[in-house]
Amino acid sequence: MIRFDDVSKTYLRGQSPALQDIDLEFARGEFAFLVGASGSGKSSLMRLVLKEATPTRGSVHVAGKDLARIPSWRVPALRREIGMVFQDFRLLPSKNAYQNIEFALAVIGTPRRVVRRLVPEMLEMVGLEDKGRRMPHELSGGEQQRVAIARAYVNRPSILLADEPTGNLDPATAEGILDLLAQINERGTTVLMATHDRAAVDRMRRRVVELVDGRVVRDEAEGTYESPTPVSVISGNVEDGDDPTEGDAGGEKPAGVGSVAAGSAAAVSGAAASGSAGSDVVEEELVPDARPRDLLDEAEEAFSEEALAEDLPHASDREEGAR
Amino acid sequence: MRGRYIASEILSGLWRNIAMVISVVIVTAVSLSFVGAGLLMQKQIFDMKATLVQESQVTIFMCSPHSTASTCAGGAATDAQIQSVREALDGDVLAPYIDSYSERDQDEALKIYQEQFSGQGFASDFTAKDMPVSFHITLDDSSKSDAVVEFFQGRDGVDEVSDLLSAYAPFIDVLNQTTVFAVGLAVLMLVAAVLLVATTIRMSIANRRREIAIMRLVGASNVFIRTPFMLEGAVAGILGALIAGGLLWTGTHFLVEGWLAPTLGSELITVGSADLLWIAPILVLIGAILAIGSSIVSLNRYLKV
Repeated sequence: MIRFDDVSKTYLRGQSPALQDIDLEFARGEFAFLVGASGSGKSSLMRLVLKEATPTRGSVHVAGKDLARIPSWRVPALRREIGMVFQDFRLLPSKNAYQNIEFALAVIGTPRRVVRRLVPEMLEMVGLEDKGRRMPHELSGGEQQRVAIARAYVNRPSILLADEPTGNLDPATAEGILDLLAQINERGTTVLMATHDRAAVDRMRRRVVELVDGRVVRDEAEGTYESPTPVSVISGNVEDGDDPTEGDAGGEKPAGVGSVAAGSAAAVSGAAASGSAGSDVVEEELVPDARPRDLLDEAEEAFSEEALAEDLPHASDREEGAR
Repeated sequence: MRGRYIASEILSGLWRNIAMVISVVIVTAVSLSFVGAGLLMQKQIFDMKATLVQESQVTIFMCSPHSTASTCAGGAATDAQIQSVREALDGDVLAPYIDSYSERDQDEALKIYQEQFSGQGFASDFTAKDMPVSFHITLDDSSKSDAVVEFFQGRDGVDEVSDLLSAYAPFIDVLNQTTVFAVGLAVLMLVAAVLLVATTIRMSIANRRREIAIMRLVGASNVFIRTPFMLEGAVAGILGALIAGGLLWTGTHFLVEGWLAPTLGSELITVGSADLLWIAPILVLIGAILAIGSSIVSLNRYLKV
């Protein structure tokens, strides 16, 4: 379903690559966790799948198509095949739950009668059939994420990408979200979830792919969050920032690049607990490289900008909801 | 779904940027008013020239007993002098210029004179002897009237040679200069309008960043994302053009038809509010094209795939 062939991605010439020599394949209907410290390349991987970024080297195939061969006007069609869920939900604050899901269908030209059938179906699937009229700030963090998942899945994509979907949620709520993702996976959608959620990974016992500094260091079929792999950063086997690939054939890279993310896993989980507003800041500190401004960044920016500009009460509501 | 969605997006976009939209509308309205005024003036010039060419008259007034010109020192023109003008008009030298001519004798002149000043006491005091003989010449080409005028000017017994085109020349000149001025102002204002539209669209994009990000994520097509912005600019531009049409109607109706035409004569002032029937669509088209054009440029700069 998703295949990376010898993919490397360097955002800025001269900087260390965000992804290096990635050879990965995710089969149709698979459920896989992407783990690794912040800045290890999980988000870059997802960006490549969405064709928001193009690989510097190698090729990415999604649903049997070589992304490099898809012309820009066909990219929207590709993205209709992929659902995306974020850590900070990214619901439109001016629309209620129903309208947020409806929006995803309306903007791709779905006929109204189909929308009227699909949206309630989705609300029911995520267990919010009685809360369709609530505005995002009137929903708890877990409920907001359910709406976000409904929005990502309403078009029945064959792939669902989730970037730390439980990062802002308490363990019990996170479990519910995970069950929802598993349920979507059972319906045949390939689910790829980037996470720092130890409990989630250990409970599910699915495929685990660990990235360290843009390289795949572990790919276990029924893995756990931590592992005895010697280069695993998140397991504490090696200090983040030390080059785990030292001694490897192609291991040389400019000095002083990996060190920015020292202790980042802890920093992010700390930030996650304190709500979404803080996590953007932490993310920015952790990822100081000049990533090209893209869709995700823009959304992020808009989110924090607008949270400041007009949704200040909403933002604090959301924080409370998350707790 | 799409139509309704796009319509509501346009409305909410316009409403969110209402201050900018108003300034776009005003600037567009004023600049297109200048464009329209320029068009009206050019039409007036065109009509006037057409009338003059059609008539293309040069008139030769022979001396009357009351003439004061130096060529009339000998009093009223003699029959010999009149005959020499007649012969010159029939001659080969002037043949290429002259289409036809008519001679107005003193009796006819008196009749016209008395008609013009009928009811006034002094008119009846004049007799045919006081009136000048005149020749009314229709030229082949009104722009070559100079040759005919020069030929007769200063001849003994010729009081005055008048050329309609040169009489109107200052007026046409003023209209032409004013057109240049109006079009210059219009261009300046239109530049401002285009930049304002671009800025408005940019702000609109910034306002809706979050929506746009989601739209792109769920696979909304490029056209679908851009259309509301483009139409937003177009609506503002067209609104400005319509207001410009209203301003011009007010101007032509009250100023031109209500004052200029009665004052200067409706044969001379041919433009009026009826001309807006063709000018207004042109203005709307200009407004729409400029607004959509600058929207596209702005979208390409600030909204990428």
